Amino acid sequence: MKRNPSKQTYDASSGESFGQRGVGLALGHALICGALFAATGCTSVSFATLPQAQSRGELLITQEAMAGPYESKGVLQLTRKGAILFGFADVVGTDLESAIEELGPEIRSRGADGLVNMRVEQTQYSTFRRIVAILHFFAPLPAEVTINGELVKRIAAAPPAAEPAPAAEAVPPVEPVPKPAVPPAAKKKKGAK
Amino acid sequence: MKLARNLCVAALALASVGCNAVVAGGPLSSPPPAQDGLYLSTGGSPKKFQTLGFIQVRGYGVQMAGFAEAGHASFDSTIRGTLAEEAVKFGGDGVINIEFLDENPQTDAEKIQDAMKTAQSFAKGKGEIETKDRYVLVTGEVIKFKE
Repeated sequence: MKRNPSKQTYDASSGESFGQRGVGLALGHALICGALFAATGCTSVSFATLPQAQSRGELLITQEAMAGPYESKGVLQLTRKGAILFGFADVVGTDLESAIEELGPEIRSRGADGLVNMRVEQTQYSTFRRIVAILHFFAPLPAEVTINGELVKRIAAAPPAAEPAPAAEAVPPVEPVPKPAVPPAAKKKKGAK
Repeated sequence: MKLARNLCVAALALASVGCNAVVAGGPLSSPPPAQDGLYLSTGGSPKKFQTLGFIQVRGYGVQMAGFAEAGHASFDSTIRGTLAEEAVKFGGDGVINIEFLDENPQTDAEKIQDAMKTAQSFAKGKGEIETKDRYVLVTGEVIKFKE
């Protein structure tokens, strides 16, 4: 039943010790978070490649304006919505590549063969935010990608004006008359003059 | 048990309808510009021009029960409607470099969800219709062609 004096001393000062420990823990967490944030950086990068059919030239998908003649087929906006689970699992596919893959059938179904002046927008999260989302796994990150642009159908450029048909009584080509050979002496005289 | 079955049905429905929202509008102008009528393009001008100003239109509408739309939150009513009317008021011959954004397009899954909520509400005798605010933002450059 005898209390351990050292234990009693610890208990007596437990309030203060706990406060100090709490501040220490908070500082420790803040330092870890700061280090993590500094290590992961703040920039997120997304890159999408054009699928084979588009890059072969069957479909024109560009952020540029249309250079040649075209017929406008309307405007289009495609949005993919989803959620990122555990910070990294994009189960629905809310990235640029998925959205661009979806574009092809949409463009064709509207009688167009291209999307020009395209704008893209994708939700991005920094690595730090994703790591935090792993800890808060019960709250998935909302994600969205949007592509919009003008649908066009390319018109083949008009062929250059046809050359006039040759006249019925065309003059037969004249054979070049061989030039008279000039003697070297005459050439020299001409040069001397 | 019933909850699990409902969840499975909902998950299957979501998986089958996908998470895409596609919004489209009518055709704009095709070059060369017509003699009469306004030239509307997401690109540049095919002729020499003078800039008269810049314009922004935000169309507002309401989607009811997932499928019925009211208001002006569509590309056609904002681009070919309000934007064109305002450009004519400014004395413009066209609007170029048009940019547009449907701020909150609804996926099929969301539309079905709203329709089901409305149906449930009617079934319970409450008669509440699920509504969603819709916004479409359009900007452009108003121009006048030079002779």
